[in-house]
Amino acid sequence: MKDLTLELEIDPVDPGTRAGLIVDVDSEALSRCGVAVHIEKSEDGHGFGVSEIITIGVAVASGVASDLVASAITEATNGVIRRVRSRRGRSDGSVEGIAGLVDDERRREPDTPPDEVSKQ
Amino acid sequence: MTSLSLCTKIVWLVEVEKFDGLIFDNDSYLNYLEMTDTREALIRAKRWMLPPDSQARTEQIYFVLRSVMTIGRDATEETLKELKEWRRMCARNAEILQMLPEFHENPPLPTWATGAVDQVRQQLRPKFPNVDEITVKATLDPRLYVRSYQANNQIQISVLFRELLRTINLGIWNAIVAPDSWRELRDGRLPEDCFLPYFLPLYWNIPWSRIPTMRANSKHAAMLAINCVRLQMTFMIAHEFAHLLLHEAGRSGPELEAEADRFAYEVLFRDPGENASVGDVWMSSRWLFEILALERTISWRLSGNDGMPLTGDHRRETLLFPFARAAGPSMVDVNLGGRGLIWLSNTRAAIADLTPVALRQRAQQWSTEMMAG
Repeated sequence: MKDLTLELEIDPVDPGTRAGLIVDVDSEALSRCGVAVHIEKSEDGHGFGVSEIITIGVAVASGVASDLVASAITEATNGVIRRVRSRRGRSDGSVEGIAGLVDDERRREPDTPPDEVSKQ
Repeated sequence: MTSLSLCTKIVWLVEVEKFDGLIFDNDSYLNYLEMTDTREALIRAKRWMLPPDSQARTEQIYFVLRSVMTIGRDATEETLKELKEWRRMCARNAEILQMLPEFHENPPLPTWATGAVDQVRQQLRPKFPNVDEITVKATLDPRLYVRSYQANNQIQISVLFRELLRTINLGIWNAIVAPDSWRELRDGRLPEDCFLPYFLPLYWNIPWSRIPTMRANSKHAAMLAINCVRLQMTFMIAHEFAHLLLHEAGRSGPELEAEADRFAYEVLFRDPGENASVGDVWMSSRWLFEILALERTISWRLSGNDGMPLTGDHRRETLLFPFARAAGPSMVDVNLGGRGLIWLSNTRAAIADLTPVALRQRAQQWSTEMMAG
């Protein structure tokens, strides 16, 4: 099992929806491929424009391909993912982009500081 | 900044002067530049203490500082040399600012934001004496946002947002004042790529310093872009003040957004501020919503979504109409604003016509070019 943290910037289908409903952590898409997601943090307040930042924790079994994880996260989101940030990288909200970030995070040792990683 | 009179605007419609110089944005980051005056020695001694994300932040600060200077389309070798010198100074100052603890933890409000916040506060004070209890904080978040937080009675503004917005406004004015761009639009040749590279660092790992420089087709285009972005930022700041002054924590929804918009229009139409007319308020507000819609279309396509963004923004735009009708913008402003709107919405339509794969390919080409410098 590998735990990752991803920060999602989302255009919710319905602005004003609370974080737990924007990312449906009980979604069938997630359970189907053995991915457990929980909301770590969501933004307070009102924003001009519509995007919301939601930080999710993702637990992935080692045999699950990263593109399946990315597809499941996208499917579980009630809105469009504009941008994703991991501890070390950033991507747009495409399945390919998210899969790249997930893949990258899964290959890293958990406590390796980013500086050390870049030298590897 | 020179006064933006109606007669001057009419002249711009028929005559585009050669612009080979530089324009300095007095509204922008003079206080940031002053902060770096006496700190260099101290900073050199502390270089080893840099946090791991400092390079990205330094690039962002550099982008912000370099935006102070806009270069003309017809720049001479001499002007280019001057610009390079300016940018060298910006790079050095960005590094210094990044290492100043007071800047790193809490970037001060830039000059433009202080002006906008003061304007809004001044207007609201008689009716809302508690307006000064609301604090406003600048951030370097790579995101298009101004946001209010009821929990600590605070508004946060991304300075990167302001600089992207100024650049896009410059692109619109460039198209309006240059007959060639206007003819291209009329003949159906649309500049669908023209804004893509400016937005890419919002989504991809592209350093902000690699954003291409947009040159100004005329001195007036550069000045008008600064004026437009001032009004747009003031509008959004006033909108967030409305949430904090009128709305309870935890409530949200389209009605609240509409109320905050009306509140902000009232503030701006009552007093658009120095060098601005009600026509400028009308124009810059319409453009703001269209620019945000354009950016959303780009982000949706890059995310692999081939639909059109479902947005309430168009309905929100109509809230402006009663204010505009009552204020009566000049025909010149309506004409100029209309041209900008057509240009923007056609650019958005051209991007919306692309498939996600096609847009990603274009974005990839831009990314490669930008990373190659």
